[in-house]
Amino acid sequence: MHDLWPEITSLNAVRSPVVILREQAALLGQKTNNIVQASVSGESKSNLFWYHFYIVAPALNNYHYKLMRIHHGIDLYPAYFHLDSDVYKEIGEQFKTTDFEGSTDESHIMAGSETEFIDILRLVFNSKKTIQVITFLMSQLADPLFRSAS
Amino acid sequence: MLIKFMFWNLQRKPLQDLVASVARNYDVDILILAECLIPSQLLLVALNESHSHLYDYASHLSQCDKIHIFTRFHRDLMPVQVESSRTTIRRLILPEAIDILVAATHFPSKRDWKESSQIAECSELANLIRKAEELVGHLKTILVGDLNMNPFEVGVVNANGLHGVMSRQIAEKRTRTVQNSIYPFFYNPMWGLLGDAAGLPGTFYRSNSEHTEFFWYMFDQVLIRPDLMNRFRNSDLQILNTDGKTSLLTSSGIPNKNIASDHLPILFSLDL
Repeated sequence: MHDLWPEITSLNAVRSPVVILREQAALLGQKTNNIVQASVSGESKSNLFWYHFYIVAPALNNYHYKLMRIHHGIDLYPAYFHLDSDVYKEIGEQFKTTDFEGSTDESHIMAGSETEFIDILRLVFNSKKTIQVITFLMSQLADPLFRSAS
Repeated sequence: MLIKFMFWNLQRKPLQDLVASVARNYDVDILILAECLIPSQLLLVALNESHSHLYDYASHLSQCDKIHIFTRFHRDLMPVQVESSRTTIRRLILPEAIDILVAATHFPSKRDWKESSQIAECSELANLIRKAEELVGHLKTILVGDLNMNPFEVGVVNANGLHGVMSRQIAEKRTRTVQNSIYPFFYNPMWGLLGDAAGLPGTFYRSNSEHTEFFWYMFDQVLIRPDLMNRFRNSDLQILNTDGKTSLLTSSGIPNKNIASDHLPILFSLDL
């Protein structure tokens, strides 16, 4: 029987948003000795793929801060960022808002390619709000009073 | 153990004395505030003036700037479970009481967001609540806040939004399946307060010169998961119009923005 399938490896030339998100989530833990981590959870509905990105402090009652949601279709890009409103206020203005399925959502940002996705992610991670959340959580967990109480 | 909750949007006004007198008069255990710019120390001084049942500030570890919580219990008994910039979801872990989740939110207004955006954000809020429920392993959740939507609006009603229904009997079914996806219900008791038959017709008043005008809006709401319905009595749910001495209304019977807020507080209880 002839194998009619294409070379599967050639289909993975572009990295999917979820792969990039999970890589970055792992890196946050490494940078903070796992004091502050990130987690990515996903779901799919009606040919759309949704991923939710949280900053997590496991030692602080498993505190979760939702930083953003990403979604895309069967084609990995364009992917759409739905950002925490404080983060969007900082970085959103430089992007055009876009229609998605006929509706306009003020806090959606579109990434048309893997490169654009990474660029936007860099802005999100370096936003004042993101840094504020991470440094605040780390400072709480570094507090000797907190450590002795827990 | 009967726990009294109050939610109030303060319209960014320095209403610490009024907040304190309302909280004292109604014996509030957990005070949830939106548009509160009062420094927490100042509000604590006002709340604790009587030195009985001292309040604690429970938002010291919160990254949600839109909601501030004061509680008569130790603040460590309301730890943050999940948050975003507009919503804070707390565990309430009181001794000799069941553990519940308290989700508090302040939604963007229609002045800032289109209806379609509010609807999309309801879906986001519903996801945030389900994340918290997944983390704690139960569905004993209340959602309270200024939704900037009425109980009958699409975002509050939609299955993939807040899925708030007006009937306990329907909510008791716990979930509904739409297009192969299962969505949990909230019971929305605010439906029962719409109109003036039961008292004040809403929590917010506006009168614009356009064809469609409800005048009274029920923006400030509490929604209850079915697992907590038997611990909630509709008769305990009130829209407050006084602190016991001072009316929060003008002589025309609408929220008095001069001495109070353009929103009225809501009060409710849970028997935990």
